[in-house]
Amino acid sequence: MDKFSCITRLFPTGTSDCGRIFGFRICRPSGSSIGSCRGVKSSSTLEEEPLPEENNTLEEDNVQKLRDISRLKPWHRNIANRIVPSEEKTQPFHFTTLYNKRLFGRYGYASGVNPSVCWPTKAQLDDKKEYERVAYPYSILEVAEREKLKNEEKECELFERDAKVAANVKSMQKLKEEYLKKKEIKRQEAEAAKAFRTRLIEEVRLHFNYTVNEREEQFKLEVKERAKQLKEKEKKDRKLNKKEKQALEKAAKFEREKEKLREAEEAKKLAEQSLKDD
Amino acid sequence: MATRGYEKALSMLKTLPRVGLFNIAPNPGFVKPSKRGRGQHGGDKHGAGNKGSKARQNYMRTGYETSLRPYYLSFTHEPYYLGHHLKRQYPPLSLGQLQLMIDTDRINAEKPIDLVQICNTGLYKINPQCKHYGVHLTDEGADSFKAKVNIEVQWATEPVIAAVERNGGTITTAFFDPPSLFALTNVKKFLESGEPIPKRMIPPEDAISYYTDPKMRGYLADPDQVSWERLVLAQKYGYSLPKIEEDPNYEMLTLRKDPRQIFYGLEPGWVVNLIDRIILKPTDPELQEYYKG
Repeated sequence: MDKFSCITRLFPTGTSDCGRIFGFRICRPSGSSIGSCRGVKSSSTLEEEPLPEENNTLEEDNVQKLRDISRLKPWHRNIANRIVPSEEKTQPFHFTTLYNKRLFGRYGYASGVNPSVCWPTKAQLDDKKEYERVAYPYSILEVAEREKLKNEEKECELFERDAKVAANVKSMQKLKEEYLKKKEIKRQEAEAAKAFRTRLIEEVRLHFNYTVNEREEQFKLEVKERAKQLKEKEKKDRKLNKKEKQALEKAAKFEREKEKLREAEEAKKLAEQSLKDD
Repeated sequence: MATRGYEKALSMLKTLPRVGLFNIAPNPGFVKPSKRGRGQHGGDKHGAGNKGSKARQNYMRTGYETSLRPYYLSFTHEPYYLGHHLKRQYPPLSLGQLQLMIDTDRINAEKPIDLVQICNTGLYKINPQCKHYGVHLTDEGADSFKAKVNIEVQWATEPVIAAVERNGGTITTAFFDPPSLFALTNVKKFLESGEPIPKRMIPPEDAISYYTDPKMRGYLADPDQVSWERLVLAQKYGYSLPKIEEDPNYEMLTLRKDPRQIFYGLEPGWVVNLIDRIILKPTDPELQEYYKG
């Protein structure tokens, strides 16, 4: 606080008349003057009989008090000035580990906190260990190995797929041709069916001998009947064809047997002739 | 002569008004029963105001936007963003920017450079809460990069490694888990919290192949393989590799952190106090073992 002695003399010491005094930035006091410094909750020290040596500092303190127009609470002002915030711990949060840790981190041994609070307790340590056991079950080497295996598996899968594709490409031409053939047959069938239907409709139209609405009931019935007839006819034709075929086959068989007999007879004749010759 | 009490009382009664229903107080202990209200809160409006859609609380179903196409349906499903919010991010820092920082004395190249030095420049910011996992050193300005540094970044590519090693420097890619990143990005704040320095945890499975790769100068790679890869890269990029063994700054250039360490010169488990300028080390064997392993 000696730094300010020259500054304080510039201002009148009378409290009532001086009015507003602009605040100065307050330096952090040295360790010894923490207790008597302004801002700390210790009004009792001011009421005590001041020693002649302390008289000067007390006066300065009063001046500083007047200068301070921040309207901050003492403990808040202390925090802003990086002085230990309060002497007595009253609030519940004052007794938490987190608060005391921070006190020590911010103010060091001046905070009066035992630094052993900084480290986890036995229970907290066990908790941490359990967390790590669950979150990091593998060591670095194991993780690397697992990752390697995973990559290899992925590569293997890709390789297998490539091989499969290569094998399929070989038979692709054949499969393609087959597919095209099938498609062609399907198309032809569809065309034939369409042609049959158009023929049918045309025939029915001829039967009625005038343009009829295709959606009319009569026309539809006629078409159905016609289709039935055609189908029956086809069936009959097929039967006839079959019969003809069978007859032809029979005739062919008969012919073949006839031929055989003739051959046998000829063979017999030849044999007899050769006997006669001998 | 003193008047008697009852006489006085009688004389008072004469002047007092008559007792009636209008002036008698209820019996001591009598509580007037309140009238039964209709509804849960005595027939009030339940804090919903008077009349209208708010009083009736006819909220639309979630996602419904009064005949508009709901916002959540107005875009098609975008599966390429799957897990996007969980991906690790490495905010970029170019070699040109790094050179500028060194030239303007924001970074001291005579000392090993890590995330602490880069964050302390005030020109580079990362936020571990936004899944930022550290620096990605990019190759912009690689041709004009002239500094000889020992740098530790979290992500680097081949040309960057080549640019650093061409000048006789060294580079390491190192992973830091989020708690360590909080400590690294704002060291003062961390030390003032009074917490012991945490130990660095191992990288996740999808990052381990990068950080064990000697080609990427991973901090978990075999140092022999790394020195071999340095030579290979020099041949690939066509520069003669400066011998760091003969360098006067050899010790600085080859300084590396332990896989569990997050600050140079400080071990996990230590408490550093800035005010008293002291380092406190745990003495409990269990704590020591925890921070070692």
